[in-house]
Amino acid sequence: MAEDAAAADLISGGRLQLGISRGSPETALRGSESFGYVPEEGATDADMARDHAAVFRAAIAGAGVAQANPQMTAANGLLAIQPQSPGLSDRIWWGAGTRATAVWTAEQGMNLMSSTLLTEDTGVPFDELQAEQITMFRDAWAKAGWEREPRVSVSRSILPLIDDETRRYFGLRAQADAHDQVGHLDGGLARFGRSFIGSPDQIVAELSKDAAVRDADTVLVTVPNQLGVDFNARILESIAKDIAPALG
Amino acid sequence: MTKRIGFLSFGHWQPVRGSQVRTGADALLQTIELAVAAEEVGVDGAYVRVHHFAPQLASPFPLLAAMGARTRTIELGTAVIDMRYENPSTWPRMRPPRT
Repeated sequence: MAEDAAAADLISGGRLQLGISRGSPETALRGSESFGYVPEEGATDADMARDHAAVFRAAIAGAGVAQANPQMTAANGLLAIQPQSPGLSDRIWWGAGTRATAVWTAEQGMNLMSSTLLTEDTGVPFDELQAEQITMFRDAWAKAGWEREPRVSVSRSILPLIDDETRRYFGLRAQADAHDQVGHLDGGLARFGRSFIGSPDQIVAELSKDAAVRDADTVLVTVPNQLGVDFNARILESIAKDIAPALG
Repeated sequence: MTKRIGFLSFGHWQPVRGSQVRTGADALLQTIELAVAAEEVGVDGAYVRVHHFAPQLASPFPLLAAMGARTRTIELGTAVIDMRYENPSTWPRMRPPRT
C-alpha cells in the first residue's frame, strides 16, 4: 500500500488526500482475514487497522522497513520503500466516527474526516455533535503542538433541484430526508445527518446554519453515481458555482 | 477562503433499469470521467469510497493514478480506505506499540 500510494501521488503531482480508518460494517464476515490479516490474540480489528495505519505512515515517511542485503547493496541497516513522495505524510486523514477518535486522530497528527454519521448520540442535532467533534479535534491538535494547520472535512448529501430531471429524481425526497435519523449500527446508537435537497438558494440558507460545515475547510458531497457522469456533473457544477461561494 | 468542495463516489454498479453504471468497468471509467468533468466545473476534490466484497469501488490506487493522469489540479482522495485490509509494507519487528 505504501508503494502504491507514493506512486499514485507522484503520478498526480502530489494531489492525493488519503482518508483511512477502521472501515465500516460490510457484507463479509471478518473479510480482512481472507486477505491474510487476522487480529492478534486479544486485539480487535480496530486495533489491527490502527497498527496497519502506523506502519503505513512510517513507511511513506521514509522509515526503514526491511533489512539491507549486504550481497546486493552497499547500504547498511534498514531500507525504506521506494519511491517516496515528499509531503504525502501531511495528506493522510483519519475517518473518525466519534469525538474520542477525533481526539486520537489529532494526537497522531492526521487530518480529520467526518462523514454523515457518528456512532454515538447525545441527543443534540447531528451538525452540533459533529461541530463538537471538530472543536475537540482542533483543541487536541493545538495541545499536541503540531506545526502545520490540519485539514477537516465533513460529508453531506446535497442535491440541488435545478431542472426537470433533478426534480423528478429527488423532489419527493426533499421533505422525507430533511431531518437527522437516530438508529443502531454495530450494536450501538448512531446519529445520521440529514440530506439537503432544494433550490440552490434554499440549500445555501440551510447549509449556512450547519455548525459542522461552518467549521470544516472541505465538504465532501456524496453523489448518486448510478445516474451517470453528465447528471452528476450538472449537480456538481451547481454546488461549485451557486452554493459553495455563498458558504464562505 | 471559499470552502473546498469534493465529490465522494461509492462507485455502485448494478444492471437494473435506469442505472447508467452496469458493470465494474462502468464504475471505474465513469469515476475517471467524473473527476475530469468535476475539475472543469470548478470542483476542488474527487474522492472515492472503498468497500470490499460488494459491487462498489474497492482497490483505489489504480483508479487514483488514472484520475491523476487525466486531471491537472483537482485533489484526489479516498474516504476512506479500510485499513483492516491493507498490507502497509510491514516488517513485524518494527511495528510500533499500540496506543
